[in-house]
Amino acid sequence: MSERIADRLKADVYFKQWNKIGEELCGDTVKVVKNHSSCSVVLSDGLGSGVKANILSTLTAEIISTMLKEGAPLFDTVETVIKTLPIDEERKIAYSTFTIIQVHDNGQAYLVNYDNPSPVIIKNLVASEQEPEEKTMLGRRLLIYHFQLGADDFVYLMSDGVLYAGLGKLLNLGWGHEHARSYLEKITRKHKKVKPVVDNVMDLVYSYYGGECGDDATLVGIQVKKIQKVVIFTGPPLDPRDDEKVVKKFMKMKGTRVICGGTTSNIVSRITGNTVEIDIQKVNSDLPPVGKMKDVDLVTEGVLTLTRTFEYLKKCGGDEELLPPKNLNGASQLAHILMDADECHFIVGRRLNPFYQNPNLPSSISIRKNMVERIVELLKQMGKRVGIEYV
Amino acid sequence: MKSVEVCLGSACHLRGADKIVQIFMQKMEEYQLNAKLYLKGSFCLGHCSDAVIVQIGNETLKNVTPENANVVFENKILPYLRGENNE
Repeated sequence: MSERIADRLKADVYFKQWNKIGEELCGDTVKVVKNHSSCSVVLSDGLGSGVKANILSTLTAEIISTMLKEGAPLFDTVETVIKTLPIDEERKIAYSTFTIIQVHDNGQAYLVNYDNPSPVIIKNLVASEQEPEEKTMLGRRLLIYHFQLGADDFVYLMSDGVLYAGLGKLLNLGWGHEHARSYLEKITRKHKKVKPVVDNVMDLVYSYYGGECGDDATLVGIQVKKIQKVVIFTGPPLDPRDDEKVVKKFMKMKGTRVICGGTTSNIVSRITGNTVEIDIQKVNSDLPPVGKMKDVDLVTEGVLTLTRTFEYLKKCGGDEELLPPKNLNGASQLAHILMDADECHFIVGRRLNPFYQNPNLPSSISIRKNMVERIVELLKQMGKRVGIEYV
Repeated sequence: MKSVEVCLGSACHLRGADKIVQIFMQKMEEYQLNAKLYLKGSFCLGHCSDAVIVQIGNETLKNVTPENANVVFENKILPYLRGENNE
């Protein structure tokens, strides 16, 4: 579809930390602040380790994230923190270093780095060189980056503990920024998803340290993605005279289109003239099969599939990796589509099928509307924007 | 090629539509009908209270069960393929 210009972007953030050996607390703190048009991430590294470092980095990250949450401009926020951060008397370095990145929904990114390792920016799966602008604020040297990100670009922020991995042990001087950068590039190309990349790199860091981390280590991965929309049409409209109007509206909506329900798919088929094809070879006793229809991404049976989808979503607790494989059945396909989505819209028909009024049926099949509402509740808990309209 | 449609919607699914599909496919194998008969799935052929529904030409068969599926195949589908009814 040619809606490139209008595509809004979002940032998926995932991070992993290791504590310095023997410490109960991590001296690095990560805070993520999301609002309707941007996502900000703060990584702060407190001086030293353990409780002291933890308090210092928490304080820094908390000041920054609270100000950003309240809508303060990025540079005012930086100024406030710089003014507030004391300098260690002995070592003449600040109590806490930090990196802040703000990614707007048009892909514009601003990054301020104060004494943390340089960020790794990967555009179109290639590590890109960004020349920062240097700025001195109250005697502190800040590096400021302005750049444009697109869908499936990545930014990695790290504390120096990541780069020192292996220091004095497996790798004499640690593995260093160059190696970390090229490894991040390689692994990003392989996985194209932020969580497996961060997990993989942090496992490597752990191995380089021989399982005994000499410093707190944090790696934050940020992946820019298009905002995913999905629209689900389930159940025939109460008044059959509305069928055409509702179907036309459904077919015009942007995003992934899903139909749940036999009668519903027949109505769409009648009005659009596109037939539903079902692969009968894939029929099994577990759930009714899925169908294919032109201009619709997924066609499934109704209540049984919705009930199972609800169960899958509830069981996974918001973690996509705990969902059953996507191609298992119609419900697993729908669950994956919903988990990937940022905005979901349900069009729920209210016409009842007399068959479902049969008291001999399992209660789970009884009312479609209830099941949709339970799914909507779960999706809202996962932080998605969900709309529901009854027709 | 002639086609026979088996409803796989909610009601029919609960009453064993998948087993009927398996039985029909075995029968097609047995009679070597794979080139003559196209077995189709449908999400809802209506008549949900009389599930499972099988559509053979113009005839809508109701209350097909895994138990009577063999008989339905022999007595309805085979004659239909031979052109004896429901053109």
